[in-house]
Order: sequence, then C-alpha cells, then structure tokens
Amino acid sequence: MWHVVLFNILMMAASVYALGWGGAPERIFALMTIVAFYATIRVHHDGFLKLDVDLFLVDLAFFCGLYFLSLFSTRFWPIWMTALQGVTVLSHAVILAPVPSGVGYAILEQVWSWPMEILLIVATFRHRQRLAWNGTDRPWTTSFMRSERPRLP
Amino acid sequence: MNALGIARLTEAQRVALRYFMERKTAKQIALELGITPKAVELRLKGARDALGVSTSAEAARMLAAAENNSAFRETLGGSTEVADSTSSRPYPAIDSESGESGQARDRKVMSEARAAFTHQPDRWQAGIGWPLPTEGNERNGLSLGARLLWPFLAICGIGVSVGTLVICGSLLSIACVAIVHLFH
Repeated sequence: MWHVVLFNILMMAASVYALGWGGAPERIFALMTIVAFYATIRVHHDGFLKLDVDLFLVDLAFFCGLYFLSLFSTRFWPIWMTALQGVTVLSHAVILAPVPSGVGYAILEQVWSWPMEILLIVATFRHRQRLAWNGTDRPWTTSFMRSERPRLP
Repeated sequence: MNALGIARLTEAQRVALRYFMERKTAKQIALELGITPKAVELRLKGARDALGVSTSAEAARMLAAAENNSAFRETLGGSTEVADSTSSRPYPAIDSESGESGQARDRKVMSEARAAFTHQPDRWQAGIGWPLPTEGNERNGLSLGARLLWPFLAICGIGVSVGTLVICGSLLSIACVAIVHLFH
C-alpha cells in the first residue's frame, strides 16, 4: 500500500502548490482532481475484478471537464492532461478482454494519475516563471473563435 | 525610487535587465551573452530581490528610470524599429509634451505596455500545429479544430507508445529467460 500513501502525498503537494501559486487553469484542475479523487473513493468498493461502471462515469466526467478546459486555456498542458485522462477512460476496456486481468485493470486505471500530478507541478512552476518574466500570464483565450488569423496578401 | 537597491545591482544584472526591456526572451539574452538561460533567470531573480519587486518588468522599469535611459522610453514609446525587430507586441505611443514627471510617465508607459501585452491576441499556429510551447510562442495559439483534435491524437500516441513499450519489454524478458535457460 506504500504506493497509495506516496500518491496521496504527491497529490496533496501538487494540489496545494497549484491552488496557492497557480493561475486559474491550474487551480481549476487541482479542484477537479480533488473532487474526482473523493468521488472515486465513494463509488469504488469492489476491487478491480469486474467493470466498475460508477468509476467509469467518474473518469468520463473528469475527462469531459478537462476537455472543456483545454479548449479555452492559453496553456498547452490541459491537452496532455485530457489525453492522459482519456487513456484512463479507455483502460476500463481491459476488463472486457476475453481473458480479463484484474491486476492489469487496476494498474492501467491508476498509473496515469502519477504523470498528471507531476505535470501539474511543472505547469504551476512554469506559470510562476512566466509571471516573473512578463508580470502577467493570461489564463484564457477565445481568440480562435474571433477569426483573428492573419489574412494572406 | 529604491536607490539603495539600484546601487546594489551588479553590472551583469543591469545588462540582463536592459536586454529584458528590449523584449528579449531568456534564451535570446543567453545567446547574446554566451551564458545559459538559467543563468539569465538567476541574474534577473537577483535583480528582483535586490530591488524588492516581484516582476522583472518592474525591476527593468526601475533601472531604466534610475539611469534616465532614453532608450527605455523609445522602446516603450513607439520606436517601431525596436519593437519590430524583437517581437510583434504593440507598444503605445506616449506624449512627450504632456508635462508629466519622468517617473510618472515611466509608470504610465509601463502600465500601458503591460496592458498591451496582456490583451495581445494569441499568435496563430499554421495548420494543426503542435501542442507544445516553442521559443517565442509560450501561449497556446492552436485553432479550435486543433484543440478539438489534439487530445484524441495524443491518446492514440500514448496508447501506441505504451503498447510498444509493453510488447518490447515482454519480448525482452522472454529473451532473457530463454538465454538464462540456455546457459543452465
């Protein structure tokens, strides 16, 4: 169980860092992570022996939230977070394999959370760097909707 | 004016701040000075600490105001030559006949320059683009189509990479076991 304790420490550290020092996207992601973490604890009871539909729905909701975040953020990291969460959602298909593996299901379901937390720390650190460098770091953009693409001569 | 802080600045920190006012990135400054970007950031951090400010822009403004550097006002005050040669960020013009004190004018110019930077439209990336920050383009300027598509492309990329890694690892472990059996 040491990996669970280690992950909890990592998640807590990343969340505190992002909530305290991050920009709006980092803070929203940290809040979403905490909500998803507690939702997972509440809905997941049966180990990884069969398809956990409730856990799948939590993962899917988290994926949709991240996808929405990635559309409007000026950062690149939400795209990669969305992709990692997408792999987590797809990992539920492992249990539907002809020869299902509970261990494989459990590993694939949890392993992607590690790079996501590390990426959150890196993202917050880079936000602080941009803030120190430019004095500002705009969090959101809708410029892709306003057709500001430069016209060709 | 933090005169004591200005006096504490080393020449290296002053040089870094002057380049910073020319809207150069850490990498560009590092290239000019023949040092690493990390060293540039350390110099800027040292300057910020010495002046007791939280941003390099504020530190550069204080140095420029202290040195009464006319180039500072030209850079921020509408010298398109400098602006065009370093970046596409728009700079507001200032009225040199307004009668404001030098420090008040510097403060106004700095605030306008910062506002211009803050509201600057994101740079478009041609085609689908890459979802990675590049030099001079830290912000995500991907089109809506690219934003919609990239997460799914990345899922495929991660899936293929991890799948390949697992298969190669399995084959390697099988080969190792076979070699061990062969020699025993």
